[in-house]
Amino acid sequence: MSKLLFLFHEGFRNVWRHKLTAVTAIMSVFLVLLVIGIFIVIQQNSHHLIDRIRSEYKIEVFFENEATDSEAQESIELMKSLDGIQSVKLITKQDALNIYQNEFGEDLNEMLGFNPLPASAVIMLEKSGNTEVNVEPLIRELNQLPNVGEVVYEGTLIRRVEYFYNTSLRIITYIAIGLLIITIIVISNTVKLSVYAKQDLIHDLRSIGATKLFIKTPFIIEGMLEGMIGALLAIISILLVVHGSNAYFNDLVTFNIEFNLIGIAWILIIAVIIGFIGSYRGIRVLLK
Amino acid sequence: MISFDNVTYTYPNGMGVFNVHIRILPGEFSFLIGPSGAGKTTLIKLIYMDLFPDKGEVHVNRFASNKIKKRKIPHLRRDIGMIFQNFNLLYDRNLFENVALPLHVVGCDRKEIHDRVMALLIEVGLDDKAEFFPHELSGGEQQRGCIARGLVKDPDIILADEPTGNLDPSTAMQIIQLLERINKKGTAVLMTTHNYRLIKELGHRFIEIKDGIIQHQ
Repeated sequence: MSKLLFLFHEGFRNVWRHKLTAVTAIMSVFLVLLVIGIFIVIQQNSHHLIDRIRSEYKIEVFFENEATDSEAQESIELMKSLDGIQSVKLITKQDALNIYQNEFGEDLNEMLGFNPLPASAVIMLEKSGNTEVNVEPLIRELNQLPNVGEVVYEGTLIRRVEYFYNTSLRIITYIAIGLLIITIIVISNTVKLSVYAKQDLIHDLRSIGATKLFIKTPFIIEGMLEGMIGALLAIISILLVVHGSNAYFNDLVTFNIEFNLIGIAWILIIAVIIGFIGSYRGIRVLLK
Repeated sequence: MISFDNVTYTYPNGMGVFNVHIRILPGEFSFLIGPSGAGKTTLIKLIYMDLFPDKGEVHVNRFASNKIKKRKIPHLRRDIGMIFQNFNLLYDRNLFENVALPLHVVGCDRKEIHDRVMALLIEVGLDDKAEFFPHELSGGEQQRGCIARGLVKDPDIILADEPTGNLDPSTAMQIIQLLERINKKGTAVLMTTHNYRLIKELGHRFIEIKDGIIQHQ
């Protein structure tokens, strides 16, 4: 315990002794985690939007003209057993006629002497969370059901929305990885400077029987501490921006921007990891 | 306690130590004398296994240079108190913290660290300067602080590499007298020096080395 306290004390001391380089590393971590944090906020909130779009995906199935309402109902029962379908609503031939009359003000039955409109079904898809909606197999299955004449769906829109969403996430991930690598290098160089400045201490510790782990640990704590301070600054800034935005746009939009505990945890985990990797990289060569 | 059995170590420039046979017994006070570049520091480094022989074996307590694993070297060094010519006190911490450093390495608790460090600072006459930083101490005081740090783990042997090299003759003699007092309590001392006049009257064993070859022991 006493040893651990000493190592932590040395780690804090390293940061304090090299304030200028530590501030550089902390600012670098802060800026990178701020950008990554904003990406997390965008991801957390855009998936609400995408979920909403996904939840409004619908497929319309038109039955063959000669199919009766009861035959249509039988097909609907089969549809309900398919994967990915949330609900199916039958629009009977009479319903279709009523809708047409409401929309266009004309009674087709009276004009033509018969009802030319087929029965149809409106299918709502299950919400699929973060997974891409893949409707093509479902369309194929629907087309094979009895009495189905035509299947109409928003295929192009669905594909475009999913493509845009997934491409954006991929680009954001690549940018974040690039920024993280840069930060690791900055922390690594800061720790290297610290190691160079502490050559006397390292020599003394070696000569009095300190293990390599004992010598390395304060530098690793130093890197992780810089990462954590940068992360805390980034989290505070993001929280301020999110709360400020919610207050400012309160009257304009119906939803609140979220930055939840998962996002905060991610930033802290990333900070600890880049702090550890950066400092380990910094001491690795010098303490061989 | 320490034995060199036909030890040779050669640096890339051809210098080094050659076919060295030495035995140092527990509780013994020995001087290792010779001019600069004779190989004194090389022998010291071979003892605390900063260097390993090209030929022969060095034995220090239960550790042998040809068998010791790298991870065991810190354990060997914990039995040795090191004192250097340039004091090697850390300038970013006070005397107390400098002396306490080896105790942190072995994980002593706060009270034990305080008691042992203060006892040693009293012994070397620096208890009133525990809070002083190295730059606030004279050369002799820094070296006494360094001796206190070397002793704080209660080592079996003190290796003092030219501890008087940067001191005036009077202060140098005080340091030697301090080392003698420590030796009388049972700690073996091996001190290197190039100043034969300083030690010739003291009556301790001396080992003379020149051009890497033991001339006298």
